[in-house]
Amino acid sequence: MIPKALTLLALVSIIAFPWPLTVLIVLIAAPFEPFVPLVVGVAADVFYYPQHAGMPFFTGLGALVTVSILLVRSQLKTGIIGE
Amino acid sequence: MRRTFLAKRNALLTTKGVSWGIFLILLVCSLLFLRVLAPNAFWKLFTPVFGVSHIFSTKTDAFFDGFRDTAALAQENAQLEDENHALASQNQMLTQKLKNVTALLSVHETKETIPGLLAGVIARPPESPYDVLVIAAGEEDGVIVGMEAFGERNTPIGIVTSVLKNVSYVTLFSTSGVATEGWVGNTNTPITITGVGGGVMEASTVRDANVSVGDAVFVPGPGMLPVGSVVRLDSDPLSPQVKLRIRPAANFYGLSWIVVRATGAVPTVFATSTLPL
Repeated sequence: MIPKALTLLALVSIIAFPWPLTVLIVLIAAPFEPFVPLVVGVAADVFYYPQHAGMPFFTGLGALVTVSILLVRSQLKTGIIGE
Repeated sequence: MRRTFLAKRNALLTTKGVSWGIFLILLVCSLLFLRVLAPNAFWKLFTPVFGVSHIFSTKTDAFFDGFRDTAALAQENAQLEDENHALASQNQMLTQKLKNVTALLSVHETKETIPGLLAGVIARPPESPYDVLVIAAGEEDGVIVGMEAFGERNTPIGIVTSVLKNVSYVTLFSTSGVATEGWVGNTNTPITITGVGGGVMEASTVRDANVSVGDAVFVPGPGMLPVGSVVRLDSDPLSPQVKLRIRPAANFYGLSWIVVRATGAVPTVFATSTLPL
């Protein structure tokens, strides 16, 4: 329940909070929901990315964090953290 | 021997967790498709949401400001009160003038270039991680790429870099990598103002230029328009150059309305940016 609430808060924070706070919420939520950084990164670029501004920076950053977290999780033994 | 069946290979990455993640990705992808395929409809849909969130973010900003140094806050508060008193009387006069000007602009609305076009701000920093304003005026209102945007007291804030049907993007001078030619100080020393992101700009000049903290920084427009002021000088004794930290004259975080207009000469050089004019 809390991870889902954190995820929704991260999404809402894209338009409601200053972006450094969004980054903080995403980093808190990411260990529970690894796709949150990617989703929030894409959403941030959907809302704010200026057209023709080169690479969508926050999508790339989100994807990088998501991949990193998935890699870390794949190395963890079953049952250490979580349910 | 009975074999234990391990239902979950990873306690963190459950099937339920993956499906929730996939749901989020689908959600954001649908937003992305809407933004790409029907950008105008997208912004029409989300403009009220941004309106509500702006009210909310103003309150949260006030909350986070409470964590700043109290002495600096008290000083700033006193300064703002003084400004407030001075502006209050001016405000009444301008309110009436604004009505007249707005009416005038709407009367003369054409597809041609409009000298000054009032536009509401939909999204702004710091919610926007890019130093970009999204404004509620677009192609239909006469906005064209390359128009200059002005904040309060005719302060230049950036350049229109993208125009949709009813929405436009203004790239602020403080956007990282955006370079603008300008002048600083009483001697009008030429400088190249570079955006470093986060509403901050910087420039370099020779030490002999005698630039000091508080000196105004100007950019070309109709004449010279103040874009900010020097708040800090960083100098290395071994270097003949001095680095100027510039605070914009306009508070990007509090902008609700701006004016866009074609200024004739294009004042901004997107030297290191890929942003087109």
